[in-house]
Amino acid sequence: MPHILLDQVSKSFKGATIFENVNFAVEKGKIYGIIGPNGSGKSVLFKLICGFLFPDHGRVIVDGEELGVNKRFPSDFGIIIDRPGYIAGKTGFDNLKALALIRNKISDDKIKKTMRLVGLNPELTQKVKHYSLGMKQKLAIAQAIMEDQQTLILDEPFNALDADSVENIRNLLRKFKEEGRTILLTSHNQEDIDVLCDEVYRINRFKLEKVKK
Amino acid sequence: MTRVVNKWKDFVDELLAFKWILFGVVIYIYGLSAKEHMYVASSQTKLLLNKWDLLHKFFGDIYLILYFILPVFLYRSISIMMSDFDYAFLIRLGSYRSWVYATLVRLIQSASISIIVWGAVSLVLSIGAPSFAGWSPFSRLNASLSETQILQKFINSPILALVLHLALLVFSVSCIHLVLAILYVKWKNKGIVVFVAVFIWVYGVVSFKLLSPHSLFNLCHYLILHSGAAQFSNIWGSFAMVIGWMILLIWIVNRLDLNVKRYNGKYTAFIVLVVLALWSGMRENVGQTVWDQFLFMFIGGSRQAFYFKSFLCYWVLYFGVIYLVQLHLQTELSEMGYYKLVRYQSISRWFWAWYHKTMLYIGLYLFALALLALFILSLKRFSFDFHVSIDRSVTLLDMFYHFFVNGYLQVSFYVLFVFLISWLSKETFYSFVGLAILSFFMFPGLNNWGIIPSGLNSMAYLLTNDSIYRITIVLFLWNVFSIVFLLYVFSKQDLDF
Amino acid sequence: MLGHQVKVEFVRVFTWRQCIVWAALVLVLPVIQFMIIKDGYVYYRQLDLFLRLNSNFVPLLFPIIMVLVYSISFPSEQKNYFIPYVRIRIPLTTYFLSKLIVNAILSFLIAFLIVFVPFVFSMYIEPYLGIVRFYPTNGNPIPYTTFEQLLVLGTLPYGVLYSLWVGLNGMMYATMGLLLVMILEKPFIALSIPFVYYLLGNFITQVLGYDQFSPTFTIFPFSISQQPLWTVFVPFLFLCFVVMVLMFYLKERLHKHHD
Repeated sequence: MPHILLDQVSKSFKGATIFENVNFAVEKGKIYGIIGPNGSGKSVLFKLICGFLFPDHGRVIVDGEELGVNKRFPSDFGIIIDRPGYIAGKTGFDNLKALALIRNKISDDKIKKTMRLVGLNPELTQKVKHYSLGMKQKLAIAQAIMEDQQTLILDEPFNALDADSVENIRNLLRKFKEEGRTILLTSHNQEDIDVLCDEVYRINRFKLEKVKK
Repeated sequence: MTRVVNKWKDFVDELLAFKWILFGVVIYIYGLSAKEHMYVASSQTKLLLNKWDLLHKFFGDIYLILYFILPVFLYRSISIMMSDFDYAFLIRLGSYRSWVYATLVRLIQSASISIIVWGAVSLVLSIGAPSFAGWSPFSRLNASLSETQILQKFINSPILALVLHLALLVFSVSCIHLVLAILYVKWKNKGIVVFVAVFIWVYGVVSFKLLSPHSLFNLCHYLILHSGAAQFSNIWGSFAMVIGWMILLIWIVNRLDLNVKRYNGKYTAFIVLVVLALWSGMRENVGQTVWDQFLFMFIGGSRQAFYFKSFLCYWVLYFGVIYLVQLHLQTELSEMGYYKLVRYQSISRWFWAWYHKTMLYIGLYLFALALLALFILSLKRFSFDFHVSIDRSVTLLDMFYHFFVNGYLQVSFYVLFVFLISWLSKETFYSFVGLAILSFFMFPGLNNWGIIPSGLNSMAYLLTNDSIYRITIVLFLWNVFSIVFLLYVFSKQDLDF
Repeated sequence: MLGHQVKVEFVRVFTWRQCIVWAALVLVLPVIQFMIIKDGYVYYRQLDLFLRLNSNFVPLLFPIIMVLVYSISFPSEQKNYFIPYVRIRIPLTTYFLSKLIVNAILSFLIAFLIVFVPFVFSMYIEPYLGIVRFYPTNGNPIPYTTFEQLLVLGTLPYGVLYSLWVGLNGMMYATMGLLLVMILEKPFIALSIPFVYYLLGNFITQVLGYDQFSPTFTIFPFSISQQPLWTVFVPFLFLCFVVMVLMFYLKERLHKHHD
């Protein structure tokens, strides 16, 4: 049974056809790359997988459960979708803490450790509204991984990051893969896709086509 | 065990301190003169007094309390604070809050000792007077020659009256101590605290001498039970005020150690408006009991009776709290994103987490509103008899049922209504517009069948032919419908922030 | 540059959708009110119909209506980070001023029409339609209201002058709303403040027993007896003062806010 399965999924979004009868299976423990031109539907695909959008036709099944029937959002997913979301008037740590408190699975130390892992200083008293775009992106990555989520859905995770940070995040994702986590990511940088991904799919004419590596 | 023994040892040591002997002597000397006055009054009226008259005189004499007891307690309060405000002591207590309470305990300890000495001296002074047998014939005289003549109108038991009077005195003195302690923690300046203490004493004297005996601002009403009873026409008015102050002061004390940088004015402004709305809702020329006035305070409007002022009060009391809910909702919706939702696993779970907390606060708000209304009413001379005099067919049970049950359901609907509109339109302001439009249906002629859920919790419906249980059903159904619709929207709608 | 920008704003805002919204703001509430009051009330004069048309809904919702004319569109520019891209093309003060001018003109017009259209209907059209029944006074006193002092100038001048007065007040509330949106980062609070101000003004003046100075009864004085004309200027001047303070505050904060 695939970890994530899109079964004959069709979707129109804001008046435009995005997908038509797409079949897509994701196995556990691999890194998948999704590529395509701007506006092709990469974000829509990720939102379908996470349950934020419903397919017009077809089904999205995660670990055997159909989204929108058995449950709305899949469990244990770490996501980065659209631009980074945060509470502007709080510090980076406070933002992560606010999210962590919802499930209450991790300690403050774990949050701080995760922040250091992505290259952020947890003691910084600066409010997030004053963060640079790169720092906000790192914060988004931190929230996606801090609870040891086993599946990561990362829409352009390397956006706005400097070269060292990109290498750092790449190493992190490789490590996660070795631990058996499943990662889906998009990037406009072909090097990120080539270096990280086990399988690559391109969105072309409303379908997902596997690209030979 | 050692700690308890040590505490008792300290207590006894203090009891035997010279200052209390001096305290007792002053009371004895004053008491002798007071006793003589009592006997003169008794012989003039040819009515026998008893030990209760004397005890109440010694304990409740305004001049004794204002000119001696109050300054003694103020001095004791300041001396405790000065001696105990030591960093070695503070660090062991752990917080300023603990320090305030520790000094309060010491003050109450001193107050207990003073009452013991006071009581002992009073008992000695009352030797020779007829024995305790309830209120004496002298106290039953319809005059104000003694403290007992006022108290016996409100309370049957002289001993209970004495206990309550002492309790009131201790509560008031504790409040004053909390004020001084808070000031000392904030400014750490002995001069300010001494100045305020002196001011309080001077204010007490001036308010007694210059203000009318029926003025709310006369400090005697809160130090002396018979004075408060005469003011509020009941024994509980003074307690209500003092306990209200105490709750506020305890709230402030509990926040002393918090690093609160930004003062949230919106809640203070809202509370002020609520108090204004409740106060303006009273109709002193109609109705005799507090329950009549309670009804008027929340009268709102029905299809048969509509007053613009009552409508505005309803807006403040009920739509005002929904406005605060909308402020929170706006923050919640603007901060909520995919990251938060995915952790809740479902939108319904996120919604429930927000909704059930909100409804808990609404329940507490209704409860606090009722208490505040009764508190304000206790300041006026209304009777506490348990009936609604303006309409005998309305029972207190009906009133409380309508206020709490229908009130809760109505406000719950408002919450669901604003949430739905905010969620569907993605703009909280439109829910505000929606609420304003919904309030139209409180105008006469627009809700003739009473099925639009707008203002149905108005107390005006108690005075019409409408069944409050029918209103419950209507509101309940609207709530159910709203929740079902909401769940449907959650399950069908794409989420696109 | 300002003139050009004002023209640009007008062109931007005059869409079919917006015109329908404005038409709805002007017509819907008076129509609903007319349907409710055409029967069941005793009318002595044609003017009484006009006075009753301006009761209930419009007075209650007045600041909200004004905010819906134009101010409501500004938060989307703030939310979507539009303003920084504007300020590299035109000075922010010019841009904001153009918006304030357009907002003032539009809200003035809408507020004017909200009252003038029912006036024209009540005084000049309804007599031909004969929908509403009028009764002789039979010695009953006619309740005169504030602004009827202007009837000495004639019925139409009264209607125009009164509508101008409502227009002026509407413009002030709309300006307050837009200024607050420009100053605060929270659109909900900014847009709701004019209504809260209006409601609290009514509440406080009612509680203190100064009904004649309440915002509602100085703009729509149809539920109280006739007051001297000067009374209407008291809350109006206070409103002007508040708006001026907001303008100064915005001027100070302008660049700091959008850095």
